[in-house]
Amino acid sequence: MDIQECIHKRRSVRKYLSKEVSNETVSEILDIARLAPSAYNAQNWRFIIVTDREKRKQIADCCSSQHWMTDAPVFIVVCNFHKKLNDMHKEKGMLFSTQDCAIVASYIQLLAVEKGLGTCWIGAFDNDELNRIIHNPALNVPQEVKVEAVLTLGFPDDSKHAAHIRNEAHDFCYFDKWESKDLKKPGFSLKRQVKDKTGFFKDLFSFKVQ
Amino acid sequence: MELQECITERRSVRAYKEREVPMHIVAEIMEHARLAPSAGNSQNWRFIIVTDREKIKKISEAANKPWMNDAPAHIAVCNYSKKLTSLYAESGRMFSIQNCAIIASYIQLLAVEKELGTCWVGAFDNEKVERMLQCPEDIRIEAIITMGYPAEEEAKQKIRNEFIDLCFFEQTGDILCRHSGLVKETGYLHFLDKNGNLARARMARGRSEEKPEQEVLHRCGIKREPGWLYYVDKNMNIARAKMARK
Repeated sequence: MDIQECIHKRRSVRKYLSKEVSNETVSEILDIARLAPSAYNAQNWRFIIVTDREKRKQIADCCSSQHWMTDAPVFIVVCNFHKKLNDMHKEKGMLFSTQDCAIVASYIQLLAVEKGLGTCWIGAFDNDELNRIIHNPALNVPQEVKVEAVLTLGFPDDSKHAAHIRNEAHDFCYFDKWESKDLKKPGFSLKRQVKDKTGFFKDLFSFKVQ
Repeated sequence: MELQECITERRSVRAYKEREVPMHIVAEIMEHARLAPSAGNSQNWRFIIVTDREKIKKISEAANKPWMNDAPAHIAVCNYSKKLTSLYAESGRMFSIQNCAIIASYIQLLAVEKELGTCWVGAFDNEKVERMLQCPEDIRIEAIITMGYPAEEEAKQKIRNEFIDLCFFEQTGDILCRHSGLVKETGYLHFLDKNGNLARARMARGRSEEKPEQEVLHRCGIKREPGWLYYVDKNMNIARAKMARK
C-alpha cells in the first residue's frame, strides 16, 4: 500500500473483531519494522508478543482498566532495552532510547494498516504492575527492559473513518527561526487524568535537559 | 511509493548534492506527516525549517558534524511539551518525546518517496541551537533532520538484529516451529514423530488390535538434541524445554 494511504488510513482502533491474527502476519510486520533507524544503530527495542487472553486481560487492567483492549487478539508490548544507549551517551541516552522505540512503534502501526489491521498506542499504564507481568520467568526478559508502549493489534470492527483533527501544517512550521503563532485550539480532549507513574518515568527523565 | 519500499530504502544520508529542496515538496511532506498520532491528540510538535546558509553552518558546528553543512535544509524538531507535562506530569515528558519521534519518522519515510535523503541527528549542543533559532524557554529541540538530494548512489546494507532475537513470546520454552493455521482437535494425539515432523494419531478407545494410523501435519524436520523435552503446545507450535533431570 502507498505510504500516504497508510498514513491517512491509520487511526486508533478501539473495537476489534474476534478474528485471529496469524503469527506469520505479526512476524512479517516486525521483520520490516526492525529496519527502523536508531541512535548508534543500538536497536534498543524489544517486543513481547502477547496472545493469551488471560494475560491480555491482566495487561488491560494495568492500562487504566481499558477493557476494550482485551478484544484485540494480539498485544505487542514495545520495550526499551536502554542500557547500551545510556552507557554510550550519558546526557541524552534516555531521550534517544525513547525516540528509537517510538520510531519502530510508528513503523509497526503503519505496516499494520497495510495488512488491513488496526492498532492503538497505549501509553498510560501502571508501570510497576506492567513490569511485574512482563518480568516472569517464562519470558526470560532481561531486568533492564522497560515497557515503552503497548500496541493493540487486530482486525478493526468498524468501517467508519473518523476524520483526523489536526493543526494545519503552516501553523506548526516556522522558517529559519521560531515564530510565535497563535494556534487554533486543536481537538484536544482529555477524558481522565492518568495515574501517576513513578519509578520508570522518574529514572527515564532524570537526565538533565539543558 | 509502497510503504515497505520506503522503509527498506530509507537510510541515513550524510552526503548531499548542492541542489535545493523545493519548499512545496517540504510542505507536501508536512501535509501528510501532520496526521501522525499523539497522546491526547496534543500535537506538541513544531518545526523550524532552516535553509539559511549561515544558520545551517552554525547548526553543523553546534553538532560538530561538518557533513551537515552540505545539506540544503535542516528541519529542527521542536517539542512543545508544556501542555502534556501539565496534564500527565512525568509521563507527559515521555509522551511528548514519543509524539515528536513519531512525526519525525513519518517525515523521514515520506522524504524517501520524494527521492530526498535524510539523517536524524540527535547529538548536538541544545543551548547553542535553541538560542540561535530563538526558541522560547519551554521549547526543546529534540532532533535535527537534515534533508537534501543524496550524493551517494549505492545503498548500504542495513545491519540489524534478526526479528526473532528481538521478540519474546509468552509460551514457556523455545518455540521451534509455529503452526498458527492449525487447530488442536480433540480425539487426536499430537506429537513430534521420529523424523521431527508434527504428526497426529487418532486416540484409540479401548483395546484395539490395529495400530492407529499416523498423519503428518507439517514436515518441520526438527533434529532432537539431548537434554530437551520436545512437545506440541496448546497453539500447535512445536516447542522444547530444558529437562530438569540430568
